[in-house]
Amino acid sequence: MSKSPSSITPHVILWSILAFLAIFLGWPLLHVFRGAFVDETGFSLTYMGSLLSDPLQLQALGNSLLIAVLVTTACMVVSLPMAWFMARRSFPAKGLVAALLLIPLILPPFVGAVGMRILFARAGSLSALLMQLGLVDGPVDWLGRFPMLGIVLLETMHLFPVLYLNLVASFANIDPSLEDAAANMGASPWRTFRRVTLPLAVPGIFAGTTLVFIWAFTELGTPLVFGMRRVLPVMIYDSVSEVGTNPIGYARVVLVLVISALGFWISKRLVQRSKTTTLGRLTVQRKETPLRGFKLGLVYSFFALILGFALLPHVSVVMIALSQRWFLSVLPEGWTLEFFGRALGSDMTQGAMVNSLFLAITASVIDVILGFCIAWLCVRRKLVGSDWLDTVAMLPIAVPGLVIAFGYLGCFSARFPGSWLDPRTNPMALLAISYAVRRLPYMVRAAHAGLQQTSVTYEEAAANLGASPLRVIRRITLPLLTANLLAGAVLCFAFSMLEVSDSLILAQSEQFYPITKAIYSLMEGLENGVNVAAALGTWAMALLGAGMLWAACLLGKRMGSMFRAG
Amino acid sequence: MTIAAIQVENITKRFGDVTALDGLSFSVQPGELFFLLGPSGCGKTTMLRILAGLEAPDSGTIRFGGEDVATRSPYQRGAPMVFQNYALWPHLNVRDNVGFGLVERRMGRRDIHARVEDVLERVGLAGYGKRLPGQLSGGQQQRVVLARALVVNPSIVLLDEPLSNLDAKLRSDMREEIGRLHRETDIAFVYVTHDQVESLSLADRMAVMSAGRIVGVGNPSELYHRPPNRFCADFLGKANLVAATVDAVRQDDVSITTPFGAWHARCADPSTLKTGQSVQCMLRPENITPGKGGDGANHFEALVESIQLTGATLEVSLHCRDHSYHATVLSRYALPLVVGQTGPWHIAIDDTVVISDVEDASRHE
Repeated sequence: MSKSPSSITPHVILWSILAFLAIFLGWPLLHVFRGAFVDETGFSLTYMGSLLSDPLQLQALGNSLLIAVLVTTACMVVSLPMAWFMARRSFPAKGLVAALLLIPLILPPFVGAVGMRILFARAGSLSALLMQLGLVDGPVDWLGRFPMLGIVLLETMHLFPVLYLNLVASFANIDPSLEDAAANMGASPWRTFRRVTLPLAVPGIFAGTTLVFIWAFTELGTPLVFGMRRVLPVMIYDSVSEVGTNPIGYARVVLVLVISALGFWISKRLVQRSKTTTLGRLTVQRKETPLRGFKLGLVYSFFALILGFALLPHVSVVMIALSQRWFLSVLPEGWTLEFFGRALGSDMTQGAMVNSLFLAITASVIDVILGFCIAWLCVRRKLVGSDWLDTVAMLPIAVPGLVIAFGYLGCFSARFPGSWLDPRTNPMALLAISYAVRRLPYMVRAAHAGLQQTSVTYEEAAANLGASPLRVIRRITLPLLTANLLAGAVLCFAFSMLEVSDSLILAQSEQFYPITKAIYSLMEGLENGVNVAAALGTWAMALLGAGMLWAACLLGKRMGSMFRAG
Repeated sequence: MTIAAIQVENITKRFGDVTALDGLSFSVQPGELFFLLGPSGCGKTTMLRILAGLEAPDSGTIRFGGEDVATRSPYQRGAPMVFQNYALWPHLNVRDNVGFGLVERRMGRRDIHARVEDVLERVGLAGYGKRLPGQLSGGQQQRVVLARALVVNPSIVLLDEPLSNLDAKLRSDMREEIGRLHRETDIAFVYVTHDQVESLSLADRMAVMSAGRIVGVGNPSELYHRPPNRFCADFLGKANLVAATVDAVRQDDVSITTPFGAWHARCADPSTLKTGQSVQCMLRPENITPGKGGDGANHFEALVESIQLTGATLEVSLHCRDHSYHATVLSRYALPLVVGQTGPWHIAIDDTVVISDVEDASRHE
């Protein structure tokens, strides 16, 4: 596109967005770094040094890394065959399976953890079942005994769809003729997969694994529920109360940030080196081979196994919400709808619902506007500075929510005490902004992908026929991008509703609790608190399930590109 | 003299290190069907996009009807374009696609409807208004794009390889259709293509482009029969080349010495020739005829290497003084021709064209 000589509007938009990101992303990060590296004498490595020489802290770091590696590996093992079958084979009810595979995303893993803890607890279903069968003598607290195993299982069940979606998108993008050519040169299906399909899917694989790694590495809720205090995120959470006084918290946050960013950077480098980033246009229609007989049964059992496992937390949460009494029996001993009522009945939960809806909607609106502007500036305008904008807007992918929340708490409380930007007084503004900033990369990717798939000649033709730049956007660009923007917005909304770490850290008084924090605090609370928490979780699940389903319908296979990390 | 519909002067455009356009100048008269013809990468589409305002030139001036439009944004140019890939908006039906420009011109709904129906009828798509672009065939989409450009009553329409996405049969139909639509209006068309047949058959005037420059301008017949240089000679058709030296230039009669002896020839611009200059002499294959010609012809002896019958014509390979030449001969001359035999051949002086070697350099830059 030519630059219209008089137009400074794009520059104004560009610099206002950069300013927004500087304040709400750059400043908190800077603050965190300053807290970790500056003491009275100036720059100092004392805090980092004491952090890295303390065996307790190192153990926490080791645990976190181990969790992240195990979760990533497990996700890979589960997702790779699934993605390949979904991308290359057809079988009855495939659409249903595809929809079911997204359900794990609609439940924060820590809520699932509550359910699982009850299933596997000393007085839970598994113990009861094994005792009935006479396999064990007394009740065993399975997850209490192996908390690490529980955490890895829960997070894998929650996160594998992220990797799966990336893989499906990558496989679907590979020109079928490339695989046909391999077969034509004598490669068996397995060799074709190993020598052609897999290498070509490398960008998607790395993008997905990086996201899973960072999410698992920084997950706060699940270890908290399993009582595993010795992991970095929980230790950061514990240092929130002393944010102004003890710099060791900042040092921990910096450690998390550096490792996340490093993981992200390495994956980007590897992807660049593999030079498969430019995938050719599809020249041949892909034919999906139908599965029959024995193989079909095998694939069904595989999917059923994975889905059964992945949906176990959801099922358990719903069952807890419905159960009157559930103690040392395989199934609850009585059913009730009481808790569903109570979950919506108290001031706290009603407030939490309203808060979460308000926050998620605000964050989604902010993201749609920012995301579209950023993508449009980068793809269509290519102004000086728009590369910068793109890089900065993608940064939050590598910046865990913990880090941002911690930074907000540090800088906005100190700088604007008592104002609407002080999270201790009223965290709503910062919560909405932190949700928006964290989800911005997905929105930018969605808009980016949409704009790249939409030939610029559509817009040129409109300008050519007399439509001013603003009219072109209104009459052509936005209508053509509706599906992408709407789907991106729904995802932003869903993830904002599920947001755990920002919410746990920033919302400190009850009237401002979002749903996740309300669930967390209910769990620890009074009699039947767990049941009410589970009921609230079920409500949230239902809401999100509807949202995700809608997004999936809008996006189809493009869903995977939302989770692209680059 | 009338004011040119388009007057382009000294347009230069660089993309990084590549010079896409190197001081291009040309003009298009009102109502003229003007072609920019050249191989891919010669800069013709860039030139068209500059006319539409979609690309900004590094230097040079552009006037539409005498008015300087160089600083105008695309939407202020009023030169609708027929895009190579159509660019029909998939979310709008045929009627809304065609009516788009009228809405931008703030025309009333009823007037838009009438104008759209009218133009759809002119392009043969009456009754297709409610279809979506995806429900149309390639040829129909092409008609919608034409309608979308014509409906705003422009004085200029730009066409970017409009037929390149159609198959051979449709292409020739649409070629005639575009010619008809042009004749029915007094709009200046600027038509970009790499297909010399489209250009030769449709153009009022055409410019042949190579490596960002115009290497020949004229009407199709002039350019084909009297190409100014080797590039035009090769690009517009088949050409046999004979090395020669200029002996004398008398008005349009050029005396030359060739390996076959003293010949007379013509030249697109005889004033550029100097006595003693070495030149190339171009002979179109279809102008080479067997037998001894009369006074108005140049003669040579050649060996028949091979003969191929294609139907109406024979493709004859001739060999003479270490060179091969190509002649296209009507089939009725077949009988006296025998492979391996040497015989007399001739070509009319009017069809013997001297082209200067100088322009060759521009091809290899």
